[in-house]
Amino acid sequence: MNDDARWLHIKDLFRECQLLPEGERDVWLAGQCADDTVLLAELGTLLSAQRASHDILDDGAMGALKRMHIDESSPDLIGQRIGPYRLLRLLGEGGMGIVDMAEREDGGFVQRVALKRVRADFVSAETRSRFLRERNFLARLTHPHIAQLHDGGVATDGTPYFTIEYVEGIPITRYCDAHKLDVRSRLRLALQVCAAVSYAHRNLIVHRDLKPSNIPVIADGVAKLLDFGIAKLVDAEQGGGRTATQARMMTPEYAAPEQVLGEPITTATDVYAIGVLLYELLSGRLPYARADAGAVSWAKAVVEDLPDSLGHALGRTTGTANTATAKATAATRGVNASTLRRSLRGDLDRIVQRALAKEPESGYPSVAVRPNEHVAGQRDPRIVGKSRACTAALASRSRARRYAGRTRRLEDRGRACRRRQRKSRCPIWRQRRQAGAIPARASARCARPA
Amino acid sequence: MLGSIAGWQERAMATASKITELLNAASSGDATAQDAAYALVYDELKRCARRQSALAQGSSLSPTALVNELYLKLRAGQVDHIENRRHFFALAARAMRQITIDHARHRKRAKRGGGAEHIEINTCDLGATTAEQTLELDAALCVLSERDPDLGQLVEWHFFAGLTFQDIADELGRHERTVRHDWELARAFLRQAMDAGHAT
Repeated sequence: MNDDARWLHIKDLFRECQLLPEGERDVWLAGQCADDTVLLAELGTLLSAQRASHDILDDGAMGALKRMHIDESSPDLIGQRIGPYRLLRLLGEGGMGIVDMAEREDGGFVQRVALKRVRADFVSAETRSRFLRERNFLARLTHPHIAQLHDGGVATDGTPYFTIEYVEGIPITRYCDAHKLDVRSRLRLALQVCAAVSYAHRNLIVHRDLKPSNIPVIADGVAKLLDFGIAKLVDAEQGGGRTATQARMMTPEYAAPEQVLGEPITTATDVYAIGVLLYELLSGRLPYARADAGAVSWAKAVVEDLPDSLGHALGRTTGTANTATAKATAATRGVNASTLRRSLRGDLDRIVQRALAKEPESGYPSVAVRPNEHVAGQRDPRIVGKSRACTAALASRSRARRYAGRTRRLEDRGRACRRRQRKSRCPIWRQRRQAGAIPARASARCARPA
Repeated sequence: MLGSIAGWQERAMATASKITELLNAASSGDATAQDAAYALVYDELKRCARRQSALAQGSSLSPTALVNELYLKLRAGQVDHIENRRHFFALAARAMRQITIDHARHRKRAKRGGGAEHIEINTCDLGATTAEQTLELDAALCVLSERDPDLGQLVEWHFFAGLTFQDIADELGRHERTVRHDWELARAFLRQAMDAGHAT
């Protein structure tokens, strides 16, 4: 057998091994290789190499590039002082900033903070102004769900730094799954995020990088919004609340169509990201079936595809490492699959679909304006239909509370009759019922056991 | 500096249409066009990488995002031709490989030069280790490509260009599972070759 044929043979055997349970491979191979011990040994080496632990090959080239970069440019300052702070350990590292956990001892009282500084090798005028802008943004924001700015200064070597509230939490999506939160509790957390983002918008700041890793939840169930590193100021005078298109930077899964296409970014861009987040929190899936098919398809899907309905997405088994079935997803929400499907149907589905609308509504400078307009009765969210502006419903606490309430009602079947009476007294419900938006049996649906 | 945003966008579009043009010429057999296309893709990706690392603070860098960004630009210039697309992925993967290797070499040189006295026994120098591994991987990949060019290409596309198995399966008209199994074999081969390099 020449080398080529031998390699093809190895390839075939290796492939077939993949189809066998791991325990049966050795015996099967021994049979296949008969008395070719060299071949057997070669395959044995390959199979054990396959089982070897995580290495550079699992991270991809950019992982390697990043690691080479990180420690090339972040001199080890752990244990040293910056201003009155002592650096404890590295928390994270981005393109131009480094975040360390630090503490300050002040009259016997130890304050722990996150200290952000620019990378020593990146202190261009632009970096500096970007960094200072983030500091200024944070200084304008005081909100229970946004990590609070404490202090700022300049280190002895001239690099600027600032400190913010140290948030010891885990990303919101992981938090929800780890605590097996039900739909209602998930919505409550999402509302905290909405409140924070809405507050930032009212202060004319677009976050532009909303994603679970920037929204940790701390132990007592409080979500905190982090990282305004690429946030932008909404320029009310120029272009009706749009920010200029910047060099494209985005986290693909949470990027809105206008980000993919490099079009102007508005507050609606944040609304879209919240839509993706909500979608993920509720269904455990990302909005597009093409998502699993890679980034090129993803970008196309963001621009071209309509998101699956939440219930439909639930039936989609994710192709990634953590394979999740509808049953498993429902279990992490403390219900069975059909109950979950039912509670995601209707209003929640509509809200999410609207948040994920392709066209950002251009007429609104910020989310904060929208609820008022709804209150004023100028726009009926159902009529505006596909425009993303309708996600005002999401931003408006009162309405979103209603959705949370609806889910609770679903779970809480015992008091069905009283509920029905209460509902029929509700003017909004009655109005919608008369308009035919709610089918006759919907009123009975709440009462029907699973 | 990027100059004005508008100017930058214009330049990017011009580059994209230039790459498209060169890819078209290359697919009709023009060898110099191929080299020129490669050079442009390389420059553009490097620029993307630099810009991302300079601007996208806190957000994750991914080769897919880079290749994808370039691809979307190209799409705007009508590189929808399947042949050209495959060609583009091949060029992009090669360019990303080169960028990674260049960086690893640079990293290694920098360590050997000025920084040597800072090395302490207890400090795990992640960057230097990664640079070392990257170069070993490159060498192992050369061996693999010689033995099996298809697997070599798969590694370039998946590891360097960040294309997913599904992307690759779609491009090559194969089943995703087959591609996944091939990757398992390629990875095992590379690991074993890298280990063998250590042993000698």
